Amino acid sequence: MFLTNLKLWNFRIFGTDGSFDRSKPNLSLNFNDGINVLIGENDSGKTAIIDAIKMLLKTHSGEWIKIEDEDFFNDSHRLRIECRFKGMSDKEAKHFTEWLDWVTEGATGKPYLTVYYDISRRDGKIIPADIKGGIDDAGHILTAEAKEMLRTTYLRPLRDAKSELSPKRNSRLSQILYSHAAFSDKKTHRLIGLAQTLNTEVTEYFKGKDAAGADLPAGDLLGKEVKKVMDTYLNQFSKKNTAFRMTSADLKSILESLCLLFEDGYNLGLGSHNLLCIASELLHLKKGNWDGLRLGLVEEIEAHLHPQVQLQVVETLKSHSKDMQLIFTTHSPNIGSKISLENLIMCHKGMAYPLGHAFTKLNKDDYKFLEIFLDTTKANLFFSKGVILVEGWAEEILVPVIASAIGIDLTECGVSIINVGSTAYLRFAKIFQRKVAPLMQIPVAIITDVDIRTYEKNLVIDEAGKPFLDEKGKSTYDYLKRDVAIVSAETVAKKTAIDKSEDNVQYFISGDWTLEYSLFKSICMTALFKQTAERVHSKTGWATDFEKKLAEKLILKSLDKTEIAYLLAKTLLELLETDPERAESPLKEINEADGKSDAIDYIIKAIKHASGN
Amino acid sequence: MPQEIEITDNQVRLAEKHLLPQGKSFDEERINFIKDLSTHDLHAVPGSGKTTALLAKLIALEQHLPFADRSGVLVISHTNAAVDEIKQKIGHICPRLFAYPNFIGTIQGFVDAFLAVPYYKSVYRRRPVRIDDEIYDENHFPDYKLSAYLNNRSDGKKLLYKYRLGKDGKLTLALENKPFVFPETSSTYQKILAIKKGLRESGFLCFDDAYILAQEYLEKFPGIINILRKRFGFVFIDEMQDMDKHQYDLLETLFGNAAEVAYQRIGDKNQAIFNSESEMLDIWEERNVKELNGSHRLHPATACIVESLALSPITVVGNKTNPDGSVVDIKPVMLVYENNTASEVISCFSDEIKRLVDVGKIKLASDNVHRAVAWTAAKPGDKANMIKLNHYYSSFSRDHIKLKINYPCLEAYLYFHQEDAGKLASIRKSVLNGILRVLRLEEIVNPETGRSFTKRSLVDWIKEQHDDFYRDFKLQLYQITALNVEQKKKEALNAFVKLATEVVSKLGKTIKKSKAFIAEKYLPVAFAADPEQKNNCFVKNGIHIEVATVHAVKGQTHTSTLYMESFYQINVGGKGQYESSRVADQLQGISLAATEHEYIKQSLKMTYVGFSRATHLLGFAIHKSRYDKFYAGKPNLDRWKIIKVNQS
Repeated sequence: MFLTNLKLWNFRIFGTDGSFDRSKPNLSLNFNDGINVLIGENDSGKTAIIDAIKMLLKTHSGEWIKIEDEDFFNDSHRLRIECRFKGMSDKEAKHFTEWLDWVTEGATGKPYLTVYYDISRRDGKIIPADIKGGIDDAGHILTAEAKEMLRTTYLRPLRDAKSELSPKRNSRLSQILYSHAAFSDKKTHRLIGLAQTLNTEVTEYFKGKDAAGADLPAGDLLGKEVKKVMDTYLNQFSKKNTAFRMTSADLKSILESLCLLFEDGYNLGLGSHNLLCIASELLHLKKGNWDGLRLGLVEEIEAHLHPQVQLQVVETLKSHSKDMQLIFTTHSPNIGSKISLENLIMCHKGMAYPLGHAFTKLNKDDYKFLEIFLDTTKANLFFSKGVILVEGWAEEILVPVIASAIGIDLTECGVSIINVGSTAYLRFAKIFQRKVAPLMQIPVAIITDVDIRTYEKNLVIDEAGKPFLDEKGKSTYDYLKRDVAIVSAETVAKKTAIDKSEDNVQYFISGDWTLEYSLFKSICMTALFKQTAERVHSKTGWATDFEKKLAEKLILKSLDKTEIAYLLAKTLLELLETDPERAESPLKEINEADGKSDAIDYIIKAIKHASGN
Repeated sequence: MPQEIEITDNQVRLAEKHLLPQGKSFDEERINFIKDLSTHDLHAVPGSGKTTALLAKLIALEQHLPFADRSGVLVISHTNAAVDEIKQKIGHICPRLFAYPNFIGTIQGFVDAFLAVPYYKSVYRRRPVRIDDEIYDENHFPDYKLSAYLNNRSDGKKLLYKYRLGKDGKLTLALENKPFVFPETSSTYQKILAIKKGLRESGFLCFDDAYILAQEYLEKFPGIINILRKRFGFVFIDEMQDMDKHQYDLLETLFGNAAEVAYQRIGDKNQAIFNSESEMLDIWEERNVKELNGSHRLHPATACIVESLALSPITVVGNKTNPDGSVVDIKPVMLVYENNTASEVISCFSDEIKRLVDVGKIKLASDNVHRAVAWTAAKPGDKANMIKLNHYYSSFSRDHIKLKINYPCLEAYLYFHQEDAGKLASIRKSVLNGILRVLRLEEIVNPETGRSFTKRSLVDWIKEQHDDFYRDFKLQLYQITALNVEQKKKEALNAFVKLATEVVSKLGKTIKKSKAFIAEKYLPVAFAADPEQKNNCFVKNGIHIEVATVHAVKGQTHTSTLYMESFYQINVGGKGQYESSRVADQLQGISLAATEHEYIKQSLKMTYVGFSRATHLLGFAIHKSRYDKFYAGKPNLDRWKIIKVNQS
C-alpha cells in the first residue's frame, strides 16, 4: 500500500481566505508509489507537507507531534489533513476493513483507505479531535492498533546523527533493532547469552578469578585490589560488599548499549553519521514481518552530505524504492537533476505540482529529452520564482543586464535565466504547463527570435543572365532588402505559429529577425550596438550601409554574437555604475522604451513578466 | 489457519481456573476440542457445555494475541444475550479479545460493522442513522391516499412494512426475493418503492437491509472476501443451528472453504427450533464433524430418551452426577391426564418434585429451577378442544420485557436499558436515544447535513457548534445516568427533560410535537417484589414452577422440566396434532424415516429441546386418549414412571 494523495485545508501556508470547504482542499497532492521528491524554494511548503503527513500518521520513533496554533492558516478556525492510500494487498487491507472504501476498477473494485484529522479551534483554544477513517461525513475513529499500522519512518534534517547512534537509553538504534524480526526472541537471544558470559567474567575479574573460578595471573589482579579497597570502606560504612557487572542482561538493555560505526572508521564526520543514520532507518522500512505502511519521510536529504555522496544515496534509494515509498525534500539542484521528472514535485507559494505524466503537458519524448538534458544548472529552475528561457548565449548575457538597466535585479527576484539552446525551450516550458488544475503560478518567459530575414541573398547576374563571377571564378552575391510588406506579413504569420502563450507561460518574440537586428533597430540601443559591433568586427566596412553589412553577417552566420553581447553588457554595467539613477542617455531611453514599440520592447516585457513586475 | 499456534496444557489449566468450579478440570473430550484449531463443525449434545469449552478455547487463544500477522479472532453468536454472557464470563480475563482487530458480537452486529455500514458509507458518503426494525417502521410516512388504501386491506401493514428495497432496486418481500403483489407499474408499488428509497437515502435501515447491502457489497467488490479472510484467522460461530439461511449463506461465502481461516461452527442442529421458514437441518452442510457426546446436564435415564428424539442421530451420554459423585437416579414421569384434569398436571408434577425432595433425590437449593413448558399458547379463535399451555395454566401471558430502542414515553428510557452490571454506558446510551427520539418527533434534523441525528453526530454537533454548552451537556448526561443508578428516578427524569429541552433550544426550536411523549408517565409492568405473586409462576409446597413456552427456555438448564403436549398444526400421516402422538414412534425406538413429514420433524426438535433441560426430573404430560392409543403396551414404556393425574 502507499500514500496516493494528501489533501490539506488551512494547514500553515496552505490556505486561501481561511474559510473551510470540504469540496475544495487548499492542497491536493498526488504521490507515486516509490520515490517522491519535494523540491522548491524556501518557505514553499515542503516541510509543511512532510509535517502534515507526520501529524496524521505519526512516526515510528514516537516523537511527540501535535497541532499547534501556528499550524492553522492565518485566522482560520478549522484545519484538516487527509491522506488516501491505495494499492493494498489483502494482508494490508485486513487491518483497515472497517474503514475501507471501494472504487470500481474493471470488473470488480479496489479498496482504498482515507484517514483524516479534522481540527477546530475556538477563541485560540484547539479542540481535541480523533483521527478518523472513511469517506463518509462522520467518519469512524481509527483504533490505536490500526493507527500503528500507518506509522511512518521519519528522518529529520540536520539531525544529531552522532547522538542518535550512540549507546544510551531508548537510543534510536535500539528501537529499530528491537522491533526487527532478528530480535523477536526476547528471552533466549544469542546476545543475551553473550552478555551473561561477559557479566560473569567481569564480576569474577574483580574477585581475581576467571569465569571458571580459577585464579588469575598476578598481572591481572589489580581489579581485585580495587574491589578490596572499596569493600573495606563499604564494610565499615554499612557492612556491605560491592559487585561489579555490566548493565542488566535483558535484550533491550543490550541493544541500548550498542553503537553503530563504520567498520574501519574513527573520527567520523557528521556526513558519515548521517549515512549510518539513513542506513539504520532503511532497516526499519525493510523489516520483514510487517504488513503495515512502509513510508519513509526524509527531510533535506542532502544535509551534511557531500554532493557526490548525495547522488549515491539518491541512486541507492531509487533502487530500493520498489517495496517502499519515500517522500523526501531537497534544496539541492544536484539531486533535482538526478531524479526523473516523474518523481519530482515542485513546491511554490503554497502549491505543489507533481511533474508526472498525468499532470504536465510533457509527452513521453519530452521526458526522455529532459532526462538527458536536465543538468544541475538547468535544475535551478525548480527553485526559482520566475524563469526566463533563452535560446543562446547572447540572450543569457544580455537579459540580466537589460533587466538591471531598467532597475530589476533578476537574482534578487529569484528569476532564473535558462539557456536551453535552439528550440528546446518548448520542452522546458511544458514542465510549467499543467494538464489539470491547479495551474502553476511561476511565470515563465520565453525569449526567441522570429527569424524572418529582412534581407535576402541574391546571386549577382550579368546582362546575359549568367552568374557574375569574381576574380577567383566564384559566384558573387548581393544582399538586398526584401519587400517590407512581405517581411511584415511573414513576421506576423511566424509569430502566430511560434506563440504558444498560455497562462503563466508567455512567449516574447522579437519583432525583427534576431536579437542583434532588434538591437540595431532599437532607438535606445542602436548607437551602443553599432559602436560595439564596429569594435568587434573592426575590419568590416560598416560605414557604407551598416544595416546591409549586419544582414550579410547574420545570413552568413559570421557575426560574433557572444562577443558583441559581452561587450555590450560590459558597457551597460559601466554606465550603470556612473549613472545609478539612470537619468542620462542611453539608460534613460532604455528605461522609457517599454510601451513605445521599441525593437527591444519584447525583452523588457519578458523581464517584467518573469519577475512579476 | 493463519499461523502455527498450539494451545498448551498450561493454557487449558488457566481456562479451567477461570471457568470451572475449583478443583474441576475439563475431560478429554473437551480438551480435544479446546486444543483443536482446525476447521470443523462441532455437533454438541444438550448440556455438553460447548459454550464453556469455546470460552476456554478463547481464553487460551488470547494468550497468543497479538498474532504475528496482526489478524484477529471473530466470534459470532446469535443473540445479544449470548454475546453479553461471553463478555461477562471472560471479558475481564481477556480484554484484548474484545478490542480491534478482534470482533465478538451477534451475526447482525458483525454484518453491520464489517459489511453493511462500510458499504453504505462508501455509496452514500455518510453513515446509516439507525439499523433497527422499529425505527425503520416508524419512519414510513405514506400519504393520505395510500394509507387509506392500505388500511382497507387486511394485508395493508404487510405491504407497507414487510417489503424491502432489493439490490436490483425493486421491492422484495423481506429477504425472500419474492416480488411485490402488484405490478411495478401500479401506483401502490411506486409509492411504496419511493418510501423505501427515501428511507435508504436518509439512513434508516432495517435489519434485512443490512443483509441486502452486505450481499451487494460482496457482489460489487468481492475483494472484501479475501480481506476479511486475512483479517480473521479464527472464526467461531456459536449456536450455529439458530442461523437463518441468509446468515448461513453469508458466513459460508465469507469463510467456508477458506484455507487460511480456521472456521469452526458449533451447535446442535437437533435444537434448531427458531428458524421456521428454512430448516437448518437441510441447509447446514457439515464438514469435518466432531461431536461432544457427554452431557453434564442429563443423566442416563433422561439421556436415552433425548437421544431417541434426535433428528440427526447422535449418541447422548448422561454424565450428570450428584455432588458425591454418584449417578443421578430419577425416573422420568409420564403424567396422564384427562380433559377435566389438565389444570392439575402442574400440581401433580410439583407433588412428584416434593416426593423426590423428601427422599433426598433432589436437594433443596436456592438455585433450583423448575419449569413447566409447552410449545403453543392459546390464541383467540382456538377451539375448546385444542389443548394448549393455557389449559394447564389458565393465566399464562406471553408479555415479557423486550429491549427496544423506542419506548412509549421519555421516562421509559430510564427504565429499559441493557443491564450492564451498573455500568453507566448503557444508561447514557439510552438517555441519548431518548433525546434523539424527541428530536425525531420534533422533526429536527442536523442543520449541517439535513439528516436525522445519530448519537455520535449529535454529540459532535454540540461539540463543534456549542463549545460552551458541550461541557454542560456532558455533565448533565453524567448526572442523569448517575441519578438513575442511584434509583433517584424522579430527579433523573427532571434532569432528562431539562437536557432534552436545552438540546432542542440549541437547535433553535421549542418542544411542541413531543410534549405528550415527554409528559406521559411510564407505568412499569407490575412486578411485585414477592415472587409468590410473580406472573406465570405456579407455587405449591414452597416449590416454584415457572410456566413458559419451549422457545423461551431454549438454552436453559432446569432442575426439573415438565413438558406438556400441546395442539399444533394439522394431522399428517395419522400421527395427530400433538407431540405425544407425533414422536411416539421415536420414543419407542423406531428410527425416523427420511421422508417423514416436516411437522413430525418439528415436533421432534421441540421435544428434543424441551426434554433436554432437566438435570434431575423430566416430566411429560399426555392426554389419556393418546396414552392409550400410542403408548400403552408399547416398548420403552419402562423408561417412564406413569402417574395418573387426579382431580384435587
